[in-house]
Amino acid sequence: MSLKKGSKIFGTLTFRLTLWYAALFCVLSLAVFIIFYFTLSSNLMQRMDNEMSDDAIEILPFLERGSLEEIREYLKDEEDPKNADSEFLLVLSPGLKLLASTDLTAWERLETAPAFLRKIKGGQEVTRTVSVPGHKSNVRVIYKKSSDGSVIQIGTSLEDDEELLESLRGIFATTAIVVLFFGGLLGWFIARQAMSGVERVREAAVQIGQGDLTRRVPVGKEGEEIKNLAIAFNEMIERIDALVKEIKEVTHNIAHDLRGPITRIRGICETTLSSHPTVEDYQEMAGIVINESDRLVGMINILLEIAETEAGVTPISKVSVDMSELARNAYELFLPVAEDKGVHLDFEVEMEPLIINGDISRLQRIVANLLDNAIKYTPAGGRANLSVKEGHEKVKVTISDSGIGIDEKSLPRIFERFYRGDESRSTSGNGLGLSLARALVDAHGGKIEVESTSGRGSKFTVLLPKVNISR
Amino acid sequence: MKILLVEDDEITASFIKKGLKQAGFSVEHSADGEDGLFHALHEPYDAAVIDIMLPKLDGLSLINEIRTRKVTTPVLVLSAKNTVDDRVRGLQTGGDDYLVKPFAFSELLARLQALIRRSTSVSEPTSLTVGDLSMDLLRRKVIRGGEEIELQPREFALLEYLMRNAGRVVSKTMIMEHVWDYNFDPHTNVVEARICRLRDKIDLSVENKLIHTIRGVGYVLEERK
Repeated sequence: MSLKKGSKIFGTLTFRLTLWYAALFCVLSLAVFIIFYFTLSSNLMQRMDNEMSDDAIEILPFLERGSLEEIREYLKDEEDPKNADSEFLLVLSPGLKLLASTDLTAWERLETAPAFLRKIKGGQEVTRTVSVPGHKSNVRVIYKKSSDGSVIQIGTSLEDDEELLESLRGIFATTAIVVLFFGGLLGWFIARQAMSGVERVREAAVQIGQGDLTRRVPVGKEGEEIKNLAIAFNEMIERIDALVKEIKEVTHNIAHDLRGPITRIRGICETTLSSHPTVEDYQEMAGIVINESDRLVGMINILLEIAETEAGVTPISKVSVDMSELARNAYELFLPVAEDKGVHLDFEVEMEPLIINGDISRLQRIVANLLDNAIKYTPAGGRANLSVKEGHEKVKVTISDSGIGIDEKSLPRIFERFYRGDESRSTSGNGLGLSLARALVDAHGGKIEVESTSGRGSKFTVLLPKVNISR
Repeated sequence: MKILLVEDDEITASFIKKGLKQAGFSVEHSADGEDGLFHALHEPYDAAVIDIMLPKLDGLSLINEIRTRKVTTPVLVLSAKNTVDDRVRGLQTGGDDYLVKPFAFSELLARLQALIRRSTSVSEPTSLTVGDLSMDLLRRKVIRGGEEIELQPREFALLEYLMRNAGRVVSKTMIMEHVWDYNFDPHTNVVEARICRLRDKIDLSVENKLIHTIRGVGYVLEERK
């Protein structure tokens, strides 16, 4: 269990970021140290070489004058008993015999005359790092040959430098551990800070997943990326929330609206059977049952059609359709209905043909639904108008009426499934006609707009993309 | 006329059987695909009504099978699904027409008769007559009781449709489809309003009415004594 949790932590982005921070800190400080270390050590060595070379140059005149006394005097002056085991100075004859030296008791095993000395020319200077048995540290030795062949040899133990460098390495190691720790800590802190937004989004997602669709992710100050993530997430939830609400409402409405016809079917059957029915009563009953069944089937079919159109399941067949002709046919179809109701129906067409690409049956349906509404909601003596005009790259079909209109409260909702304004409840209809019209217009890449004043009439405008016929 | 009905739902089958018998057909009923196939292969029928969803052997396979065995009986396919895809599949397999459940029986009858007419290739009539009403399809004239009646083009088309189906009930949906080319019912009383005007011209001044309303079902043009 704990192992599983542990491996989970190692898999987190926070942990990985922390690791990266620490590793980066480590590599960078190591590089800095290495550069610093080598610069320092080579500088120290250089300084030591220069000092010894200066000493050798000081002695050189004594040697050239052949005055051993002066050399011994000089050595005595220079000699520091405290440093006897870390420094030495000696002079060799041209035959490489020891002429004079500082106290060499600590340097017994020093090779005073290495073979390469014979090869050095007069006046030349050679510097070597040699190891002397019995001495822990290496020794830096400078060999200077005078013009007569005698050699001045000065050596200094590197012990001090090495000690310095060693303590430097120690300091670095300690610092590195501290830096690594704090770097990691800092990395972890920064990573956690950055990831806390992600964590918030996750928490919200979990709660939403458990059914709380009202939850939103608070937009924090972690930075643009997290802010945008939170905003995008909230927008998605907003959309889902709206869809779920719509589905709930539609389901509720379907249940309600299906109950109506079923109640009527059941009612007429019951009352017919419980009276003493004549053949005419049976005929009337059967007629009503058929009508109500047709209404139910019609509603279900329209619902399916809206859903399928919105989901794009049944593709719109695209053929050339003359909207002028289609509208004229619709006008002729509805003219007797309007006349019977006492509504004056007008038809205007700007030019013929006005060709668009679309599905003829569905386009018929759009116009028929809107025209049907216009006549239905216009009282006797009123007017309704159907017009087809050419707009900019669009064909504009307008259906207006002088009917009861739509109040402001209902206007934004009339395209919702099953929505029926207060005024329309007394009229027959299923509240699906406009939803279907809009779904079909959308599927054709068009737009449907409505303007209305309550009590004064409505105007629906359908804009459909036109096909330009090149001649 | 002999019809083969392959339909597993008993109630649906019984009302189709009843309706077809009333219309003067004799009906053989199979309740599953295998039985239907046996009948279709061994007896001659004037037409077949076949449901798609069937036990043992589905409708489309059944049609496919009888077509590969060179049985040319016209087939009307019944289906509960109304997608273009299904319709196309039903017709491609060898069905001759397609009807979606729930349907009006009058529509099933009209389609079935149309199928039989097509397969027996009766020549197109040039005139139609019902009682004292006659229609000259070439000169586009309508005469009732010796008097010529003026009709608008759509009214003529509507009367022609009713007269071609004389004695049979046609539903509003069928009228919308055949006369106005609308394959949906626009819900309002567009058809009633038209029929009303047609009646004014055909039946108004005459004792013997020809156009009758069958409540909830549709209209029928026939002579009733």
